[in-house]
This record gives sequence, C-alpha cells and structure tokens, in this order.
Amino acid sequence: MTEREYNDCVDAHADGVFRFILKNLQHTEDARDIVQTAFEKMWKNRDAVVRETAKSYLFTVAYHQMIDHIRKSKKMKLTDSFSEDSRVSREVSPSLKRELEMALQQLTPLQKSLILLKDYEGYTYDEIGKITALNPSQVKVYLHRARLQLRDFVGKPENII
Amino acid sequence: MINLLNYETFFLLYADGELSLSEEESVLKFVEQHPLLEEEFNRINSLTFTPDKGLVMMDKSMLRIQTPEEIEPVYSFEPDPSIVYPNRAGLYRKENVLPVYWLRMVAVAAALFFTMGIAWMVMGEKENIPAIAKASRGATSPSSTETVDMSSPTIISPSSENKIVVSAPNLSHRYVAGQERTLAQTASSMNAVGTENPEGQVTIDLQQTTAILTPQVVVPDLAAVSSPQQISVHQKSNLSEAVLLAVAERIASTAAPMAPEPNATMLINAAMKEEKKSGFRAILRTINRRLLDEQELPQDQKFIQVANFNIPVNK
Repeated sequence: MTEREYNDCVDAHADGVFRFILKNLQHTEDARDIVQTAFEKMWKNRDAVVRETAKSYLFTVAYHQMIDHIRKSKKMKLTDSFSEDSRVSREVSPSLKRELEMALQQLTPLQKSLILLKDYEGYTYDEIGKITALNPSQVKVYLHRARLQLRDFVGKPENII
Repeated sequence: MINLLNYETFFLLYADGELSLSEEESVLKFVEQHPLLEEEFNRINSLTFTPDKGLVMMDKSMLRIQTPEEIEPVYSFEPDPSIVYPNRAGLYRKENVLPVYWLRMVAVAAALFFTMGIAWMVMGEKENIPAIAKASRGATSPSSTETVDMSSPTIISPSSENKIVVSAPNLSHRYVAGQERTLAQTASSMNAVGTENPEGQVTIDLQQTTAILTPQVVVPDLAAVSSPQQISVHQKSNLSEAVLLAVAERIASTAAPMAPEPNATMLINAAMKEEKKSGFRAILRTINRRLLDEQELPQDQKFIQVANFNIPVNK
C-alpha cells in the first residue's frame, strides 16, 4: 500500500469506522482514538494490506480496539439481555428512529457491532465473522437475536412511555 | 422454503439482505399469502439502521500521511556571517609543545657548540703552549732564551730528581733514541727551533719552542745512563722531533750530569696542573698513549713514568 492509497483509505473509510465505533461507545474522543489507532496499525502493516481489504482490515482492528477499550473501562456487559437499570433509566423517544437508537444502546457491544456492521456497512455474515472473529453461523445467530431484542424493546408500550 | 415455522428467520434474513432474489420473492409471496404476518414482516425490516452521513470525523486530516507533493516547502535560514564571537582568541588551547622554529634554533646551536667543542679540542693543544711557556720561563730565568750546554750535563739534570723537564702536556709523538736517525737529519731538523754553536751547545729558544710545541719533555736521569745508545726519550710532545732527539743525544754524549736547575719541579707541577685542567683531553691522551704503548713499547723495557711520559731506563 502506497501513501496515496493509504490516504485514499482515510478519505473513504475513516468516517465509516468512526461512526461504527461512535455508535458503540457513544464517546467521541474514545471513538476518535480508536480510529486513529486502527489507521496507525494499517500504516505499519501497509505491506500486508492491499487496497481491496483495507476497509475490512480497518473495521477489524477498530472493533478489537473497541472491545479492548470496553473491557478496560469495564463497560462491557457479557450478558445478552437488557439490564433492569438501563430499562428504567432510558429516555423515551417519540420517534422510532430515536427509539431504535436507544434500543441499540441496550445491546451488548458484540450485538451492536454486528448490527452496525450489517446495517451501516452492508457486510455479509462471512465478512462480519472475519472482523469479529466469529464464524458466519454465529454471526447469523447473534445478529438475529439482537434484532429480535430490538423488536421486543421497541414494541413494548412501557418502553415507549 | 419459508413456512409458518421458519418465517421469522426468513424475515430476519430478508432484513439482513442475505437472501437471493428468488428467496426474496418467495418471502414476499409468503407475506402476501399471510396478511397477519405482514405487520411482523414490516416491523422487523424497520429495525435496521442507516448510517448518519452527518456524523463524520472532524479531524480526519491528522490520519493522513503527507506525500512529497503535499509537503510544504521548509523555510531555511542562512547564517549571518557578520555575527562573530568577540573573544574567540580566548577559546584557543595552547599545547605544551615547543615550536618547530625553536627546535631548529636549538639544533643549530647544538651543532655549533659541538663543532666549536671539536675545534677547541683540536686546537687546544696549541692553545696550551703559551701558558706552559710562561711557566717555564718564569721558573728558569727572566730571559726568554735558555742555553743548554750539551757538553755539560749539569745544565739539564735537576739536582734532586735527576730529571729535566723541558716542557709538557700535549703529547703527540714519541721518540726513542735508539731509532735509526742520523745526526745530520736531526741537526737539520733541529734548526727549526734551536741552534747549535761550534762548542757543542744547543741553544733552544723556549719561547719559540713553546709557541710551536707542547711544553713537557722528560729527560731521564743522565747519571744512570751508561751510554747514549741506551738513552731513549719517550716523550709525547709536539716539540720538534729533531730537537728532542738532538737534545737527548747530546745529553747522552756528555760525561756526567750537571747540577740541576731549580725550575724543573716547577715545570713538572705546571705540566701536571695543566694536565688536570685538560679534563676530557687528558682521558683521550691517556687512551691514545696506552694504545701506542701496547703497539710499540718493548715488553722487556722498563720505564720511569714522570707525568705523562714514560722514560725507558736500562736495567
């Protein structure tokens, strides 16, 4: 990867990676640091990274950086279910979009990552599996489970109120 | 194939976009056939997220790598030669090494000193002559001329030591009376420093002699000498060879030694004193003398050493 190709990757994928991380962490500075780290790693490994796989490489690195960051900050929840406290404290949004945003934050980092990688970037199960170190079947199961949780969260009247 | 048991999975796969076109058509046809499931189908598909294009990374430029074309020209500053350090001389360090010109001067001075020393050593023998001559003249008589009567032995031999010292230090030759040398030869050579009168007396002008020759000549005790052929003058002097030989022969030809003159001891002392002063030259002379002795002196010959002279005597 040349310098020019690297800079093209910055222009093409930096925002996507940043959005992906920011939606997960809900913290701008942390998301920016993770994106910066991802691009630094790609530059260091520029000999092994080609332009076609640069995006996947960036999301993979950013995802793992994010997981490490969450573990370090003890924000990661290993359960797939919503916590009772989060349900109580969540903000009621009249619009579906805002309701979905709030529902998204109730998911685990893995679930959020799977949904965002799928919806934001359009990755296939196989590609998501490579990024998240899962096999495609696991991606499919976890992703469907996350969507059903979103459905249950949005559809219940107490969550709307 | 989609049915009432797995329709939820197909709805989710449809929302994820993981179905083929034929599968999507079959899902849509299944929804049409089951209107009660249409709400569920729309609800699942509405749970997807779309990226917020307005959410961008603001300082994305910091991730970029500057290419050579993008690098801005770097402004350089030229040094100002007008700004100089005012006390640069104080920063120099001086090494404790003698300058070359000084070494050259020392070398030249040493060479000159050595040359002058050699010249002084070479010419020293002649320079010592006047001092000894003065001593000799002062010890003998006010006159600068001493007359030696060769027919009268009392003139030459001192009363106490039976020796006559004519002059001394710088020795360069050695004479033996027994050498083959005719009287005519010696007489002719003697004229250079002395004169012989018709009465058989040899008058040696000491002033002239000491000016040319070295001052010490030792003549053996003539009373102990039985014949002139047995007398040898072993002297190392720059006196004229002819003069010394003639004096020895004439003395030997006389009947008996005369009463010694009182200046003999003084001459010896003066010669010894000069010898001590000569220092390094005395050492050289001693070495030279011994080398000559080893080469030429007969083994069975006995000598009487007076000062620097070895006078052979008969047994």
